Amino acid sequence: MKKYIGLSVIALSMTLASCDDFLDKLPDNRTEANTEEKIQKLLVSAYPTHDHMAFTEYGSDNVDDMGETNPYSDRFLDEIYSWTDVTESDNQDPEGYWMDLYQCIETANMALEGIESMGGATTSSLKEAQAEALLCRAYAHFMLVNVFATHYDANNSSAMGVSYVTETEKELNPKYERETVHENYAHIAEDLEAALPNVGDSYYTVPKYHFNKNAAYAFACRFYLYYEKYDKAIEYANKVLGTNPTSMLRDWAVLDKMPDGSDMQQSPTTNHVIEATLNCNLLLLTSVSIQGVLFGGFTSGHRYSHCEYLGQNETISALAGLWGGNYTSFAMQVKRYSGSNMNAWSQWRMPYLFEYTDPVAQIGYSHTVYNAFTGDEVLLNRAEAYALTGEYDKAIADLQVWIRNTSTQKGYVLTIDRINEYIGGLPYAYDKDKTPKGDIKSSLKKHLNPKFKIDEEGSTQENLIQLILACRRYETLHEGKRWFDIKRWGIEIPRRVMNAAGNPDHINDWLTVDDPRRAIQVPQKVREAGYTPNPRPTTDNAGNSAVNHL
Amino acid sequence: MKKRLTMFLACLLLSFGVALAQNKITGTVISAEDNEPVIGASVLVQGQRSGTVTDVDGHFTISVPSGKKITISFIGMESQTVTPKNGMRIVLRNSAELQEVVVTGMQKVDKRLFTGSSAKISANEAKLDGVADISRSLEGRAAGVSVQNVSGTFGTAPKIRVRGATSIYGNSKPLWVVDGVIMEDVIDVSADDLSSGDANTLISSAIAGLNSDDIETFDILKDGSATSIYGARAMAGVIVITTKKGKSGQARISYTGEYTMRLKPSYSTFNIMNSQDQMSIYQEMQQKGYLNYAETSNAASSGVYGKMYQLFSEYDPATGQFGLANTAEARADYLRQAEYRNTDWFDVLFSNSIQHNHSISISTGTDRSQTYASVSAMFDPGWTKQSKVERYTANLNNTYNISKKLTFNMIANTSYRKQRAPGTLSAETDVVSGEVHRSFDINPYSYALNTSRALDVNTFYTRNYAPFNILHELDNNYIDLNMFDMRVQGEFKYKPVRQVELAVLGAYKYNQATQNHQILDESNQAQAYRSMATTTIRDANPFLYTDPDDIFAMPVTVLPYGGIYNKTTNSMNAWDFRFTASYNDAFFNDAHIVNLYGGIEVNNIDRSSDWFRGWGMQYSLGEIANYAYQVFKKSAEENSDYFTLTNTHERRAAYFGTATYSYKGRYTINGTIRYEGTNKLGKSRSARWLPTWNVSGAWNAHEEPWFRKVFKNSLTHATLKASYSLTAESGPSWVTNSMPVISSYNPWRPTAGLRESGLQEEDRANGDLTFEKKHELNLGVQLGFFNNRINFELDWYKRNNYDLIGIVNTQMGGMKYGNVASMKSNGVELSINTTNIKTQDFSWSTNIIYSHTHNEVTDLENNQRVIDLVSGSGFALEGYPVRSLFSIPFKGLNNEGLPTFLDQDGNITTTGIYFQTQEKEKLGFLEYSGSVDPTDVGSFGNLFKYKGVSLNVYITYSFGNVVRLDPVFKNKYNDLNAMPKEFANRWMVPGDENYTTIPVIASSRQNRNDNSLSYAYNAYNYSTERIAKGDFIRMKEISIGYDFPQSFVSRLSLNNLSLKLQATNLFLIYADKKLNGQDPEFFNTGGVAVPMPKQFTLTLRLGL
Repeated sequence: MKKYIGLSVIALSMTLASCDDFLDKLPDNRTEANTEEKIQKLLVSAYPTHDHMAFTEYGSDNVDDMGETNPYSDRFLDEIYSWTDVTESDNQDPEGYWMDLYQCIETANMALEGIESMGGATTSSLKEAQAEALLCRAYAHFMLVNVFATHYDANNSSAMGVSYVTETEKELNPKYERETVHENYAHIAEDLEAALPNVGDSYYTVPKYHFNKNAAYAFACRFYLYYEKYDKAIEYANKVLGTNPTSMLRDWAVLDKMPDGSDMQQSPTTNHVIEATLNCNLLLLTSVSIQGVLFGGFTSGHRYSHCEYLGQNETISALAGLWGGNYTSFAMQVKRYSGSNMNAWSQWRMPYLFEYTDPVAQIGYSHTVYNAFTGDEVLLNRAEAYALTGEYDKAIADLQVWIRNTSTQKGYVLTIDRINEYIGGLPYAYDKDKTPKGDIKSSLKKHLNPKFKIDEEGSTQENLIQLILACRRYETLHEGKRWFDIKRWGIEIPRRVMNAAGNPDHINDWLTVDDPRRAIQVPQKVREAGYTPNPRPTTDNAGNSAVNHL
Repeated sequence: MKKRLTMFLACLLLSFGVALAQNKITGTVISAEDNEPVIGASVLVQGQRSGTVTDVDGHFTISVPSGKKITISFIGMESQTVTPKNGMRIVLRNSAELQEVVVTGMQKVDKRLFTGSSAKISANEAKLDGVADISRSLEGRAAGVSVQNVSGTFGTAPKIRVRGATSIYGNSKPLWVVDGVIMEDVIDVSADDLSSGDANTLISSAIAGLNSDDIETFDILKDGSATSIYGARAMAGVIVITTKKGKSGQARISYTGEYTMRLKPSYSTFNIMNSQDQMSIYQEMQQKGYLNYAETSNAASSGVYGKMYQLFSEYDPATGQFGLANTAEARADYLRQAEYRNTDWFDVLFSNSIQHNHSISISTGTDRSQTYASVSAMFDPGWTKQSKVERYTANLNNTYNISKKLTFNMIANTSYRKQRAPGTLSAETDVVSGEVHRSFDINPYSYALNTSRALDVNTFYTRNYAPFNILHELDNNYIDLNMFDMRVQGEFKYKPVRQVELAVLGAYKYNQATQNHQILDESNQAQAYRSMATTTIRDANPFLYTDPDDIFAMPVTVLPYGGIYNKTTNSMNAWDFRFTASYNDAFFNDAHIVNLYGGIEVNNIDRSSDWFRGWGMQYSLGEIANYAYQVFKKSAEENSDYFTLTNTHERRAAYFGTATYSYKGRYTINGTIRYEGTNKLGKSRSARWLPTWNVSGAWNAHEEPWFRKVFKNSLTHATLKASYSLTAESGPSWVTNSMPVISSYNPWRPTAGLRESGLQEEDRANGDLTFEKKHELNLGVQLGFFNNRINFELDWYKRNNYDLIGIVNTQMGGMKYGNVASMKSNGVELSINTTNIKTQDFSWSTNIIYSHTHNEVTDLENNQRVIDLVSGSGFALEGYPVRSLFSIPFKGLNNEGLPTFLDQDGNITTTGIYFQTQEKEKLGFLEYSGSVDPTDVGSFGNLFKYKGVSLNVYITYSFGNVVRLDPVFKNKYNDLNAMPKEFANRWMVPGDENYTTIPVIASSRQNRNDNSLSYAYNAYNYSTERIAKGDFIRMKEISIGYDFPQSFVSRLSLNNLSLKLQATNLFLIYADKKLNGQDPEFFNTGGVAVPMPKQFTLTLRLGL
């Protein structure tokens, strides 16, 4: 008997040892990031597929409320227009964007850990992959901190930022702490500086959907502009723009000549906007989004609209006033819609595309493609950096390039005097302090309250910046990027309701300089999972408003 | 006579002598089975405590006072009391055949020593003749086992639950063990998907390849004590099948023939409108702005009216006539014909043809080897069109007694199935409107129920813009299924000594299922891809393709020629290896019985599935492909695949041991432990191993000396049992993220030129991922009265399921699945069988089975949308049963006849229901309707026998669940739809809302005014108004059998001959009136699903 027991024990212990090896087999065809190729492929998914465009565009002064009688809205749009903490779920809600960006970060970290496990970035293409991963990680955090926190303020080192995540998630439900905005920016700078020397385009098959060299420099340019390191912003802008900046700009005239599509009129134009072969498109991102519908020739969502009044008085015609033109004097004509419940000036630049999961039932995902960075934006960023460093001539030269390219005024000469004359002559828009209801008139010029110092109102510097902001507002219309200028420059904006004639009627709400709502609230599900929310004003028993610091 | 190697010291301890007038007796004890000496058998003097045991040669010597008898006993053998005689030879027989055993698949356990809860069902009794899938016959047979025939199609597994659900996202499917080998499904079809009607369900039954005639018994292991030897796989119970083995003796050949006729369903049992009523509805629709010429003649789908309009423009140059003159008279005449038509679709699409099954088996053997072999062939011409099945099985079971110590058993089992099914695509849920739909559905049963009876059988109407006729389509669009499965296994058993047995089992299984979905050139589905008869159709047809790169492009076809060939192959390779050792002994006069059993087990399962879609297969031109290049461009742009490949690997290893101690069979305690690991839980070497265990005890009161004195014959048997256990399951098959799950994907890009494939992290890591677990307390009592004429068995259990996979909302990873949910359940199970009358010629016995189960989710974060909670299979919500069905609260019709509901904000609305809402606080408005799983199930059976005649009346019942009524209401109908008779009570004029709850047929004006009216009608389909109780009592079986008398049989040179006529699923004795003929067990989801038919089977059995 002992013999058998002995035999069994031997047999058992032999199998025990081999069993763990036996069980190491992966259960399906999943893979691990452990080769150069796999790391490169993994980085395909380190780019967001959701966007901030809906909630930052609707939160900006690029839209006005056309009134309660306009039926083309939904609860989600109502919430994002009114800067309410979002509770509705939507493909374009802040939750989707938050989760998506942190997934990009997770993926980038996984690639970086994969490179570490292979003994570091030893080959040149691994170095490029490492650079791409760092850029993706930095970009995702950059968008997170700018959307979900207050804007960087060099003098406020305690402002709450987001979590800077540098390793992959290992547990079921880990809890993360928020850093300060300063720490976030320092980390972004660190990742960016580590990445930029190695960034390359060699292994990309579709470089425009990855951080190619120009995209990386454009990112650096915008980052350092926000970080108030203007020399660096200029340095990286120069790398993108080279000696002939015009070659890096969009050919608006070509867009204007595109025919109308058969099914959806705007499709040939919008599809050309995101053409990957164009120099001006530096980094293209896809998104599950109906931005192309909301800001195209469809009625959907048009209760909140970039209406004619805005186009005339703040954005399009107001800018053209500089060269004595109007809305017709741009290379690409604005599409003007008017009808019952549809008062919109639209630029066809957001494609509305569809991915069919079930072509028969016509079920699938709405998509759009948007530019994370364009050559045009880099040019305007450089102009702004020059303006802030006092190099007005260079700033004006850049603006002249931009105006000649964007407008019909191909030979236009821009001078300081013209700027001072036109911008200086404009009144400031809807001065909040004047009366509660009184002055709600528009202008492209709005009071600037940045956290850093610029010359006083009416100065050349201020006028120049007003013009740059107006150009950028035109350049990024419908893309939700105006929101970041509103935050950065401390621009106060109202929630304005238009009357039946399409003119301002009254104002419901103000976004003040230090309004906590400038930091979009952390999504509901993330808060429920225990994440520190952004402070929001609460009403105490005495009826006084107070900021709730949690 | 060989020398035994070992002997137990215990033997010696029993040798006591008593000084009396003694006779010294010597003798030998021999086993009847193998003629070998029995070592260690106890020899006792009757009435004394003195005795001895036999030595290695089976010899004993004992002193016996004169006049006393001696008793010789050995565990597992019948004791004998004999008068002592010197040199006597005592032959002991195995008692195993007399005593009941519980087969756990690994062991056979003496029922007296079994402490768990189990039910044994003999296949003979349970078998439903004419129902080829044996799993269906378990319905109502064992307390605690619920079998729902969610589809009657062959190959589709019924939804079987042992003691109800055990998991929230997992399958709660019991483990099938056939002859000691775990059967694995070739594909993982979840319990909910069994009712989906998708083609995959055809291969969902792991045991559809077993010939029911080969099966000897089922043992259903219910509680954690019974299943604990399977520990981490057995949370949802185990069903053990033992197949027949050969017996030594003369060869016996048996033939079983079953001939089954199924009744066509009849409109009389359903409340579908006849063609006259139907046409009057169409007339109302016409008044409301539908079925007009312009719209209907170009509509995607149209029936009588569409055909009429098309005939107007069909000009025949030969006769100079139009298909139909566009005159009021001709129209009226045409429509009148439709009104009188009253097509019986059931008659057209169903057939009474005979299904026949033939099975021949041979059982033979000698002392050295025994063989059981069988072959069977089943031919089913099909109850519905295109549902032909042929199945062939072969089974060989050989046992060789190589030596006295070594036996070898080998089983080879193979089956091949050829089946045809109507072509079907997978069902999809439109999450926006909440509509479940299946494109191109041609399921004959749902077609007959949903199609207007005003249509002509032979006319082509319009569907998907292309000509459609159901008979033609069934001939041109079908699935050919080929399923092959094979199992070979061999087991060596080595018994070095009587008490010890070592066994090695190896098994290999291979399954391959190929589904060829053939969509022929002329089928509607193929023609839909090229239908562009008018510019209106061309612009509207969603199957056409418009090149996005060409800004002037017109829609073109991607299928200019031929049809579509879809091929899906699923295969599985699996092997198992098990080494076990057991030790059984009894000491001290058999007073102390010890069983030890332990071993190791290793399983490996590799599954592979690939899918391919071939466009442009020209079936009519000798099967040659001719495809348009655009089809690839289109699929690249739409990000859809044209072929896929998935390989999965499942590996498990386990160590297990169980020990039982019993004092005289009166008091038994048992403990089991199993330590199991699986690769599913990733590389983390700690998380993937789990110990499971059980402790249990039983008290056989009837073994007590006082028992018989106290109860005499009134109570003859009494056993009390208790067990407490931990069992587990490795969770839903798709939760495997102990390490990050990285898989390849193709990100969506705007144009084909920008495509690149990438890798993405599908699931973030969860290093804590572990098994789903269950603690179970089981208490049972078994009583036998009046010499066991009445047997009563009652079990009560309480379960605590924890570490269940549930949802966690994380800060940065979104929704993750982890072991965070829990649920609890409890239930009682009762079975009573009585022999009411027993005389020499006549007997009447009754079987009553009842079980009740209740479960409640106690901890679960929720992420469910409204649509998940209100649709057919229900969902889990904290505080409710695990499959709960909710309904949108219906608040009557408004003054326009539109349904109104209470919405998420507490308002009354018609179209304001958001089917996609996930937020917990916004789900509160839904009304709880009940559980989808029945809570009370069982059966009532009576068997009467008079001489050779037997009559069996078997009733099954099921209570406590709710079912969703068929979603028949729509905001727009067309002239193809059949409507239930409740439409007769629909809202017609203002004021009707006070009398009826059937909404109006919405006019085209109403639809224009509110373009989201479909929400209102879908909400109505999912409202409190459209729910019925699932309770039913079913006359499951009535059969009359006749065993021909031996005198007659021997004249035919036969051994036996019997005939049996059986009626199955005859009728429902009780069902909710609201169901109106809808089978409460069956989910009418189209695809390949059909209900269990009413059928009559004649069975002929003869033995040579």
